[in-house]
Order: sequence, then structure tokens, then C-alpha cells
Amino acid sequence: MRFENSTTKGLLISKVLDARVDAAVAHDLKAALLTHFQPEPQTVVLNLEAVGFVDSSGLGALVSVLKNRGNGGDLVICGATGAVASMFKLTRMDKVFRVFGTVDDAVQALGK
Amino acid sequence: MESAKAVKWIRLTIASELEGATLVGQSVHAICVHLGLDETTTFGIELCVVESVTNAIRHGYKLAAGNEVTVNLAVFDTRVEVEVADEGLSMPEANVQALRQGSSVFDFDENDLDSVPEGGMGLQIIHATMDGVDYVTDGKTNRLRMVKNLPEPEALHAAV
Repeated sequence: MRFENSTTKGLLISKVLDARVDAAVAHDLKAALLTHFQPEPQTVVLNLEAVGFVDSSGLGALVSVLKNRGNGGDLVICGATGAVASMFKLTRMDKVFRVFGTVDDAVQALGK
Repeated sequence: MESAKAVKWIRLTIASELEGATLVGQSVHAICVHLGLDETTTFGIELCVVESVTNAIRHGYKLAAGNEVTVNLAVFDTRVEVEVADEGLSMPEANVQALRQGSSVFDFDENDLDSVPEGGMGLQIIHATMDGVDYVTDGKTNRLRMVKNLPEPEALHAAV
């Protein structure tokens, strides 16, 4: 999987550059995101604005990361629109993750 | 009563690899767009095809390469019918019931992270998204059949 990572106001912004987050990449997604919580947990803002499709395997990987992020860490979502936002709603994962409209919204709410 | 004859149909066969689910999902998406289906219907069909094919590869074939999954997509005036066929292990009866009648997989407590599922969501997604679902097997070939009704008015006629 391809990501574009940057740091802003104490937050790691990780933008997914691939258009699809599905079973074929779910393992790589989980492994890549978990590295951000070692050795010290932090808040990761996962930017999905370039993603057009997420399936249940992709969502399951994100849930697994959330469960294994460690104390003091967090994984929040931004940029989910269209089919991706629908998927979060259909599965009620929009109640599990903190979801923001844009990166700026997330930074404004969570940045130090 | 409408004709049982499909307006258009296509058959896609992929290798039993997870990348194949990606490929068939993209293909079904493109077909639905070409037919003029709306965004919500297109996404629903694409999602359910991907979930079904992924289940067939992961659970039917246990991720073993060298097998095939076939997707038949037939378009009628008022509905799209999709059949996902494989020759792997058949779905357990409890899963077939979940597919037909729905399950409680999304009735988790959002404040209790341990209760949130990491897997087992595909069947409920299909149940909730499609208008009709059935699963049959003859001991060799497993067929997951799904029906998605098209909203009115649909632009399908303009595309045909």
C-alpha cells in the first residue's frame, strides 16, 4: 500500500494513496498503521480522501489497529466521502471511530 | 409480468486470489457505470460482489491458489441479478441462515471496543444491501445468488 505521511501539531497525518482498501491490501494496511504506534503511541489521522472503495476486510483491519494501538494512542478517520462514508455508516463504524470531514477539521479538533 | 430474459449479461471468471476480488470488483463497478446505474446501486452491487468473492476465496478455497470463482451478472429491466459460484467448501448452515435472515454482527456496543467485530461482516453487509439473497449447493458447485432492484426511474433503458 502507498501512504503519504506528514506531521502537524503533534498529529501524524497518514494519507492513503491507493483508491481501494479491500481484502487484497488489508494485511498491509494493518501492518503499516501499527508501526505508527511503536515505540510510543500517538494520534494518527487516517486521510481517506483518495479512497473510493472500502470493504469489510479493510474496515476489519482498521478495527484491529484501533484495538491494538496501545494506551495513549488513537486512530481517527477523515476525508471519507461517498461509498466509503456509506460503508462506515452501514457497519456502524462511524460510531466506533472518531470521524472528521477533512484533515483541517481533525487538526483543529485534536492538534496540540 | 416482466420477461425472464436478461437485457444484458456477462460472466467473469477469476483465479482464487484476493487480488482477483479487487479485479472483479473494479470490473463490476465499470459495468454498472456503463449501464447507467446510479452511484448507490453501483456501490451496493460492487460491494456485495467483492464480499462474496472474498468469502469464496478465503473460506471456500482457504486461500488455496489454482481454483476459480465465477461471477454471473444479468441485467433485467427492473433488477440486477448476480451469482457468485465456486467449487470450494460449502458455507456452513449457520452462515447461510445469517445470509438469508440477517445477523446481529453490527449490534455491538460502540463504547466497548472488544465487542466491535474485526471480521464476519460480509454476510450481513450482503443481507442488508441486497433485495434478495439465496445460497444453493449441489455438493460440488456453491452458488450465492443476489438480486438488487433498480430504483425508478432508472437510466438503464437509455444505456441499452
